[in-house]
Amino acid sequence: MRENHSKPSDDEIIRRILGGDVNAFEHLLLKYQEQVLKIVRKHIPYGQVEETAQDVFVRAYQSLPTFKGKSGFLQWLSVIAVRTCYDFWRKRYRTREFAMSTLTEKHQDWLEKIISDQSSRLFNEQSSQKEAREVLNWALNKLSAEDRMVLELVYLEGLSGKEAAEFLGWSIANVKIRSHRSRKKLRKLLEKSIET
Amino acid sequence: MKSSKWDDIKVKQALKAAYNAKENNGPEVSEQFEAQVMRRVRTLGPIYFSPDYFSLFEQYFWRLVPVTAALIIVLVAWTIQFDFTSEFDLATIFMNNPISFDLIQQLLI
Repeated sequence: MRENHSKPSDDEIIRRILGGDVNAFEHLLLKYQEQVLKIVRKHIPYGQVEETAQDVFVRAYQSLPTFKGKSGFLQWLSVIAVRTCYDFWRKRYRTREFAMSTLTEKHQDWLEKIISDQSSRLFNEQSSQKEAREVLNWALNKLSAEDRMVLELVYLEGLSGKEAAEFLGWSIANVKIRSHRSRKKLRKLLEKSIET
Repeated sequence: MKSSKWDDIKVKQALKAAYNAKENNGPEVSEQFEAQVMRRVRTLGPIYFSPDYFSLFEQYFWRLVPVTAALIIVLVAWTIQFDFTSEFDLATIFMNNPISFDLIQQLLI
């Protein structure tokens, strides 16, 4: 208990950093590293997680003078993490670095099985999870960066429109419209893939 | 051609499970992660708090609103007061000048 009291608070660390003490940033890095990695792992391909997480911290360091402390440092850092992931996809979609392949027979079968009655058993199978991930990645890669992010936050993570709007820096109305459209697009994509 | 009845809930559950698994199955970061971040941060150099003038204006503008409102009320009251005084002064001038006073009286009638 006493140890916790001796640890400097976030505000104190931020004051030190803004006073020119660059090394004080390491406290924040160690404290929030896991939370940032959790967010980045969900949105970014595994191969790019480390680099993107680094970008999040560098961006946070540069933006520290704008931190007002209204909603706490972790919330502020989470917003930066989500927006960095969003920027990653925007850049990626501009250059179209990923393969736009079609679903394989195996994935189509998985999707059919999910829709059928065997689905509850299939959820727990390791191989099925791998296929689910591949189908999800395939579908998300077919969408725009905006649709992808809103779909991940609202449809898959279950955030409210207000929360997603805060993370992405959009209006609530924009999030709701995008969310509805992207869900329709995803459904159309998956339906089409099992029809062909 | 394969056909099946679309079930949004089942697909959502399956995709949600796959998405959430991503968070836990991801690789650990390398041991150099912290050192690399700190190296990049040190390259940027120290940052200092520099006031953002627009946000400062915005912050103080709303604080000054009640002061401004109070000032307006005082000024209006003072103007009303001033007007009464000037009417009194005008009446005094007319009293000292009976010709003009009569003329004014006639005009008013």
